[in-house]
Parts: sequence; structure tokens; C-alpha cells
Amino acid sequence: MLRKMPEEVRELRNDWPSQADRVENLTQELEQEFRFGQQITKTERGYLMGGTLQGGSSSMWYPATREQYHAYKRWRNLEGLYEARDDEAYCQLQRFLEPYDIDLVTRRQAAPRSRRRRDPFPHPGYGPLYAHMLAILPQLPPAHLESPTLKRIQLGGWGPDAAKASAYKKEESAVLMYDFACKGARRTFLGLFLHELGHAFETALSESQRDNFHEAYQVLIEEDAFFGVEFLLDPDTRKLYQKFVFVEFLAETYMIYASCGAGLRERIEDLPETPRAAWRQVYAGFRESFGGMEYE
Amino acid sequence: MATYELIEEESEGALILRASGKFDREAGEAVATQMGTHGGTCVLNMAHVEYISSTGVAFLAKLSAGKGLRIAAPAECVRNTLSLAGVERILKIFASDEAAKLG
Repeated sequence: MLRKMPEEVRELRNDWPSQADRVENLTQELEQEFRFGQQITKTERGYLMGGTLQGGSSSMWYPATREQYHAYKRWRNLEGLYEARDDEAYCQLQRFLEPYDIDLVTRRQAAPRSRRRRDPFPHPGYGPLYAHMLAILPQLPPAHLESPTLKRIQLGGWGPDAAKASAYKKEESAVLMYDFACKGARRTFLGLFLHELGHAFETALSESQRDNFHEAYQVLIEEDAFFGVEFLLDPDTRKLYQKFVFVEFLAETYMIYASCGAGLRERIEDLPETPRAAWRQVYAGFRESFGGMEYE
Repeated sequence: MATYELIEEESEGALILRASGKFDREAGEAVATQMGTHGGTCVLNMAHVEYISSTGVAFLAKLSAGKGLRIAAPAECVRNTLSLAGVERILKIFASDEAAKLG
């Protein structure tokens, strides 16, 4: 059973092409900063580059120039997320989620330590995000969406104690796409969304499934044979992340399995014998957990 | 012109590097070079770093998770950015130089 994720998700299998030659004054280093979520803001003190850490109260601001500010604006038009209404996508997404009893909430206004947990109604300006989620979720196995480990998807807001791009909160069975992820690069949102859904998936694994993955994971550590997809961080850092934390390996592999399908299969077959065998074991475990569903 | 400063000192056999300013690719490469030359325990004090770029984060991940660099007293902006990137779990982070030297 072969499924196909939307094209913008399938793009994750490719290198992230630079826009530096399309955007005036955009250097590759600056581009990396924007892709990491840094913004350039015009203030009374001049132009400053920084993030939206902890509700915008970040102390991390660094001087920037007018040229860099305009490069940021132009980059954002190409790769960034923006706010817009898409009421049709929102209504369709709500209708889609309802039978699975998954709550869609937004938390735009709340400050880091606010008691206010959610907006009274989902924010209409997240239209592009609703459309992306609506394109992704129906391509996943219904069993994953019915899982008791996925009961809420939240857009916006901030982590309780530190800045986070996104998180999976096990005790609330919630995927949290924080403000940072909702305002940065589109590719980063898509990668993180599938990664956090991967945490909902790995939390639901049985002990024997987990043991099976862990057995192969040990081999992959010894062979240093992880796959890295570029979003938020460069591929090498994403590989390191998996190498040191087992559940991150599972969540990342979920994202890669769903977004890179054929590419993943090809890369597995290109590996030397030992890591290939371990990756085949992982792939087979995922295929089984996806009810036989594979991706183009 | 470098946008960072890296001051080196030896303390009980450990190399202490004190970074300030912007921690970017250039700063990361300088730390990597110092680590390679010293060869022993290496502590990077980041208390006075004002900005860390995404390539700076990637360097920290490689040097700390991959090569044992110990990060001491990171400034709030560094801590927040590492948390944002999700890599703080794989780094060796300590509250002070002393704690970092002890490992």
C-alpha cells in the first residue's frame, strides 16, 4: 500500500536549496539564521537580529543592517510561514479530526507563565498551517490518529520553562507546535510536526516493538549509520541527536519514513551489509506499525 | 573582523576557553582548533556570549556530544537557543568552570 505525502513534505528528502542567489544581500550564513528562526526587526535602536524566544522577551538581539532587514523580508516571502485565513482548510481539518477525538487548539496570546491555556477559538490566521496539517494527517494510518497518545494538537504558545520550537507532552498526549515553529520556515514546521507525531507514535509502541527497534539502534550507533534531514538544524546535528537519544531516533525515523519513503529505501539498500541489515529491521518494524503502509 | 573573543587559560591541567560576543562558525572553528591542540579536558565558558548562531549551535553539538567539550555557565540566550534547537540533552553542560572540570 503506497501513500504519497504532499509535495512540500516530500521536499524534505532533498537538500534545502539556498535562496542566496535569488535574494539580494542574502548570504548563506544569514539564510541559515533565518531558517533557524531568527528574525530581523526594525527598532528605535536600529535593526536587530534575534529570535522570538520566550514570547519575544529574548535578550538575544544582535545588531543588523537595513540591507539584511530587507533580505529577511524577501526570504520570508519565499520560505517563511505567514498568517492568513483559510476557513475552508480549518473547517475541513476540524471535521477530519473530530472522529479521532483529537482536539485542535491554539494558544497565541499566552505569556510563558500564563495560566491561560488556550484561545477561546482556534486562531483563524493560522490558515496556512491548517492547510498543511490537513494535507499531512489523512496520509497517516488511521490507527495512529486513533491512538490514546494523540489527543491534542496545539499551535502557538511557549514552553513552560524554556524556549522550545515544538514538543510532545506525554502526560497530556499532546503535540505542541510552539510560536517559534509557527512563525519560522515552512520546511521546519513540516519536519517538526511529523517529528512530534513520531513521539506520539513511539509512546504507543509495545515493549516488544521497542526492544526490536532498540536492538537495531545499537547496531546503528556502532556503525554510526543514521540519516539526517535538514530542517531547523543541519543534517549532521540531527544525526548526532538521534545517536544519543533513542526516542529521538524513533521520532526522527517516523518523520523520515513518512516524508522520504522511496529515498529512505534506496539509501538503506546503498549501505554496507551490517547497517543495511539493521536499517531493514527498523524499516520493517515501521512498515508493520504503519499497517503495511509505505510512502512514495 | 572577528565578532567574538576567546580567552584561553590553563587550570589544573584543563584548558578553559572564555567566549564572549557572537558565537558563530568562526568562533566554533577556533574552539575546535584549541581543543585539537590541547588534547585534554576542555571547558568552554559561555557566560558572556551575547548571541549564538545556528552554526554555533551545530559546532557545540559536534564538539560537546562528539568530542567531549564541556560547556560551563552558558548565558541565558545560549541556554534558550540550545533548548530551542532541542540539543541541550546531548551536550555536557555545567553550572561553573569548577563543576565542568570535575565532569
